[in-house]
Amino acid sequence: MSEPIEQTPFSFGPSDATELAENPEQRCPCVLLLDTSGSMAGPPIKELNEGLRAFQEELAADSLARKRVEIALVTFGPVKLETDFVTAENFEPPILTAGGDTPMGAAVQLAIELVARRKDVIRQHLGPTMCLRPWIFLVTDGGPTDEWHSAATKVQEGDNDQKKAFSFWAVGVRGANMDVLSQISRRPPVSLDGLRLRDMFVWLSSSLSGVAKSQSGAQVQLSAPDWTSVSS
Amino acid sequence: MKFPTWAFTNASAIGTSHQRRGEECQDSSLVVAPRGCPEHLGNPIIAAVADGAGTARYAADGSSTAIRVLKEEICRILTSPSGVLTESGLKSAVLMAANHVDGLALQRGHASREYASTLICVVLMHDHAWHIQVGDGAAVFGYGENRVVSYWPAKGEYGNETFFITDENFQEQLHIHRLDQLPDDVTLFTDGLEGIALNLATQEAHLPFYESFYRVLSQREAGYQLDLENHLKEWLQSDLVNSRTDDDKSLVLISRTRPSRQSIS
Repeated sequence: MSEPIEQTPFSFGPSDATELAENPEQRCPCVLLLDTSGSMAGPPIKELNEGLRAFQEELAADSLARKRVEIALVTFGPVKLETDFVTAENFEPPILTAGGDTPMGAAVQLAIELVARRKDVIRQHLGPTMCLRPWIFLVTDGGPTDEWHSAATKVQEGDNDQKKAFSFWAVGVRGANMDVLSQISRRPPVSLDGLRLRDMFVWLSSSLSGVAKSQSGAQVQLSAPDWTSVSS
Repeated sequence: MKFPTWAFTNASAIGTSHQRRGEECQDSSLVVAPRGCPEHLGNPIIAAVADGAGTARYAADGSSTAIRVLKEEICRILTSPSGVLTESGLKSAVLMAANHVDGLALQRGHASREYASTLICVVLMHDHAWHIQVGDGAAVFGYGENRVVSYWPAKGEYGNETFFITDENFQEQLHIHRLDQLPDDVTLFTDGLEGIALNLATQEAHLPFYESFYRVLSQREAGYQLDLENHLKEWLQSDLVNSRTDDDKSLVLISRTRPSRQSIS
């Protein structure tokens, strides 16, 4: 009697992870630049904290973005680096408290330095094409209490189609000095009516996820106040 | 003189990011054996892949038009009495494809950049090959146990930036290279598969990736392998692949066939 012949199942293409190359993920660094000055006390800071949690949860739920988006958290005033860059899956939002003035100029300059250094670190350690254009995302409810014109110049110099050092976005919640914001930010700042910070953070996480993946990040726009309508 | 013959297949599949947004696949691919070539050319093969830019609204039209026009022009040259392909002839063919895409945009009242696309093309002759490339993705050439990536995916400053045939100065990014040794197999893919087919740190092809295809394809008879196309489509949309990329994916596989066996008398 002949033994039944064992058939190897037909396979065309890699059938498990060992046949795929292993490469580090590209990184998209994002600095959250958050106003925690005295005027944010009460509902605003509560909304901000909830928004931060939603932001982390949304990103962590995305299998690719959780590894690719890196978050650093800077609060002001005083200017404080709350969290240095970590991937979204490892980001633990701190509970922020309000109090202090609004040294926005210094905070913006710190953010710009942070992304510049991070880009070098990523390129050196992961590879020259492993960094995606970083984001700086400013949220404020007031106006700067420090010198801010130098910061504005640096933003203009870095965020443009030639230099493309970073993409800078500004959101003003109730009470924000939109005029100053529009001088700092090349992109028109968005005025957030009410405190829909959670929606804003969900939009941000979605946009970052998009940028962190296949799309080239050129044309993302904020469309206020409906955070769900973004053209890219 | 016995000319080499080829077994080949290809597929493109939509990426999960486009699927989620109800958008179409912006990748295009083809592999053909043009008919009507002068005999002395043997059995040439034209293969191409193209990846429409994510931010370009009509990128799917851009990529499909680019490879179609390029293929048609190369076919026209190959089926002409001399059938001679030269670097300048290929450059003209690429320009023609780029102009065609621009013309299409113009006709429709759109900006060319809405049709932005990368472009990779390989032409296999009987004793040499041509490789054309604008942008990222790659063509990987198999020689014995080696797999050679002679032109690394071209990227801009950031990892998700590349060059397109609709760029004003795309000719500066146009790579045309004659391979003086005919490969045993050729693989073309767009950037969606770079992360699993290439070792980015060492800038080398990841050999097991190709082996898993060519141990099957190299055993086939000449011609387009329709059944393998179905397997390929399935594989491109598998969880294994989609866990590593959410981009559109294209893959062209071409293998020299084994020498034909003599029939036993």
